Amino acid sequence: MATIDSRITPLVETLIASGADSIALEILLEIRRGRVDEDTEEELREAREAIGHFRKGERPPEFVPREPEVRHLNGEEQIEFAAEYAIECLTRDLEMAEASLENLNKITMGSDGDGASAVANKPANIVLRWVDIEGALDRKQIEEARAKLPELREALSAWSTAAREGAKSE
Amino acid sequence: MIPAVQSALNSILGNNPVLNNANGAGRAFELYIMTGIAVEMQSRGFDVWLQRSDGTRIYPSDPNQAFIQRGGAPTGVAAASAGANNASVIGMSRPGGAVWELWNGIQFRGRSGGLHEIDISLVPESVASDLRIAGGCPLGRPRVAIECKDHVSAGSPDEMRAFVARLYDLSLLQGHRSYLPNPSATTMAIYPASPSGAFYEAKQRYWDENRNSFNAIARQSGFTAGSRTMTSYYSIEPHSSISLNSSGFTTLIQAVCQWIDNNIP
Repeated sequence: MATIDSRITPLVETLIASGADSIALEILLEIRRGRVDEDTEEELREAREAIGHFRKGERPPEFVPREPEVRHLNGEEQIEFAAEYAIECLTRDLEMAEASLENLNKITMGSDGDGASAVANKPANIVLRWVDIEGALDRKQIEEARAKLPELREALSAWSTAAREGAKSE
Repeated sequence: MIPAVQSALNSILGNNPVLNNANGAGRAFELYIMTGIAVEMQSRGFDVWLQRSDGTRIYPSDPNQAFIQRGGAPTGVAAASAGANNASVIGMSRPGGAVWELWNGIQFRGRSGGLHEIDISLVPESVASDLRIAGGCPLGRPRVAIECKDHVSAGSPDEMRAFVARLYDLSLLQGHRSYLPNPSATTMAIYPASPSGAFYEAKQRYWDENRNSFNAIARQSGFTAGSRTMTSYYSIEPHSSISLNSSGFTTLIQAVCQWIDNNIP
């Protein structure tokens, strides 16, 4: 198990204080675990094809188990990874939330039924809500949040450089 | 603390109660896959609609067009009488065919009595309607079960093992009649109120049940080397690199939807 470099502590604290504790946790877990060998996309495709044959009644092939090698990130790699992951994670979440909203609107506009015919030209305007969270999320809020991502990327990049440069100058 | 990072984070998350919640936008991964399946089925000619937890459909003319995603803790199906503020579902049917519901984060009951959350599942509408009378968890296995993993770390063989175990406990076979509420009746793959017919009946063996359902683990990242060892025997498709419009996402959606299109009545 890797030792977590203490230079990422300020970022972890900042993420937690800002309500992004799930991102902080992911960063710590990944660093502790290290990078493991993965099944290649070709190997995964073979596995999926084997299931296709299995569904047709053929006996599935046996894949040989193997022990993955683990490579732990050094201190500089940990800082770089933490900064990149924080921005990528938020970017991805917002992109997927926006795409999901588009999909939900598409579904609503395409659904027929008694109530839809009278308003065929009226666009759907779905908002997202969660059972356990107050408030709603709409397209405008997502766009506004996404517009601020470059500022976060820049701040994280500056911190990442400073944290790594600091170690070199000591 | 890093002031510039905190300031930028607060400007993104701080003023929004939904974004400023670790479980808010972060649930978008499951929602993106769920809605991706629905849109693809719509493009294949299925009737597809959004439905509130009280069983009413959402139309473009409705003043309330909120699609509500599940809460942090998984639950069963809410009673319709509890109103429209519980988790929404997506309904679908082949024209003239049986009606199905696509669920997110619902707990299913296994033979052991244990409850197992399935991130995305497809069940007959009759099962859902019956559960909405008083609320509760279905007993048995959905025809589509997708485990979603929005983690940066690669999926481990243990993750695969856990999903295999979950599906094992949820599988109702002909030999499991004694576990069921009405042991004298024909054994079905899911309760309550399963439709009748060969497609819905319990199978003789696990192999047959595994073949008669679509099961997948969908990951944002990849799978630890060796994870695929258990996939084909238990019919669990490994799908990696799921992100916005990625080839991994397209492969997953096409695989699920082709199975649905080919198999469900």
